[in-house]
Amino acid sequence: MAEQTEGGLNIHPMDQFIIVPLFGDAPLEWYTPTNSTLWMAFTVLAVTALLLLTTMRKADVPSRSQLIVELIYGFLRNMVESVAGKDGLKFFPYIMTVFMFIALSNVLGLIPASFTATSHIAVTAALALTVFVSVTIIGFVRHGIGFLGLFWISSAPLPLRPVLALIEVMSYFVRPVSHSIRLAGNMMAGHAMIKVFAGFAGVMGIGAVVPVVAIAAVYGLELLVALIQAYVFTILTCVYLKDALHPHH
Amino acid sequence: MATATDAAENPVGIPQLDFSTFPNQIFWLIVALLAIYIVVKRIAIPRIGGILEQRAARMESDLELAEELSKQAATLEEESRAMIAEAKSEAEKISAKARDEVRQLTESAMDEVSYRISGMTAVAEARIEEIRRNAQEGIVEIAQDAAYEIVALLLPGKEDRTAAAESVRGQAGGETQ
Repeated sequence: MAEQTEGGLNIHPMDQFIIVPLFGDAPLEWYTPTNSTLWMAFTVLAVTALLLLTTMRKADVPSRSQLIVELIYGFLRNMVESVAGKDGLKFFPYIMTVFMFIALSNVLGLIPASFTATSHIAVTAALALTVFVSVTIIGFVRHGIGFLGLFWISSAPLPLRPVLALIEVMSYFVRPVSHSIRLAGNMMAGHAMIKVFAGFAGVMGIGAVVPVVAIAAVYGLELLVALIQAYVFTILTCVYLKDALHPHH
Repeated sequence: MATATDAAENPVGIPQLDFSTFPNQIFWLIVALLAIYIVVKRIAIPRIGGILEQRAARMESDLELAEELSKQAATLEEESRAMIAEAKSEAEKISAKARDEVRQLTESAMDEVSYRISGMTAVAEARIEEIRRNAQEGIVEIAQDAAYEIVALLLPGKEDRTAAAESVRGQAGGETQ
């Protein structure tokens, strides 16, 4: 935390996103473990615990925790199948991986003084570009040049088609941008907002009740947003995958 | 390379746009995703899929068993109903037969009894007749003897056995006939 300047508010809502090496002050190399690395590791542990500890008994009559995992599994599998089709199930493990990573990273990020890996555009852009590149490759491998039919709206009147094709191509390339910024932006904004309210609470004395109540409310909202954004990222991945598998729809 | 402290004094002011941290974040992201992918693909999905499959199989086999058992119960019920009906008709037959037998037995016993009674009546009647005749004959004889004796007492020398007998027989015959 930066030192207080005299008078007025001195809130640094973005400081929580600063990446610092875990050990020492050595300059940041690509392999240096950082706070981001630490919380990604916690995310991996949480995902592993959630998926494996709860299903250890393999009970026919599930416990509550096993039921939760079964519901997540069923929900995701059903989503992949209904959005991307039966042949989309081949990619179900990766989609489940992405969902579990984003959901738990978002939720763990809500722990006070923690770090949210998914609030960084680098992480979300990497996730979104992975989806974009693999979906494009899958499309061309499956349909060859016919994949470009995705941009040629055959149900539109012929004179409009070139214009629509231009728009479609543009929107196709904007996809990874919106895909990644949506997630990072939501995470960043929520956390920054909580931090700003907390800063108000620090200087308001007894009146701090108002921002504290606001923090509690925003926290609940953020919990919702954390899961919804994981869901949105995942279902958009499925939609893009559907375009690659069935471009003529 | 920007360090953490000068990221805050970054002219942009947003740590997310500090491109020097990108390779680091992306590297560790790949590591994390690979770890989760292995857990999800190798263990979690087969395990959960197995659990769901096992449950579905168990439900199916349980339902099949229940259906079979209810079918068995239905056939058993039918069988028992048929057995009851059979037993009932059998019992009716037996009781009808028993009633017939009893009636026949009663009838034949009655016949026998009445036959015997009539036989005994005839014998008894014959004996009564005989006894009466004997008694009559005895009386006649006694009367003849008595008549003879009386005549012999009253009129000695004039007694006649045949005359006495005839006279008694005439009296008795007139009396008895």
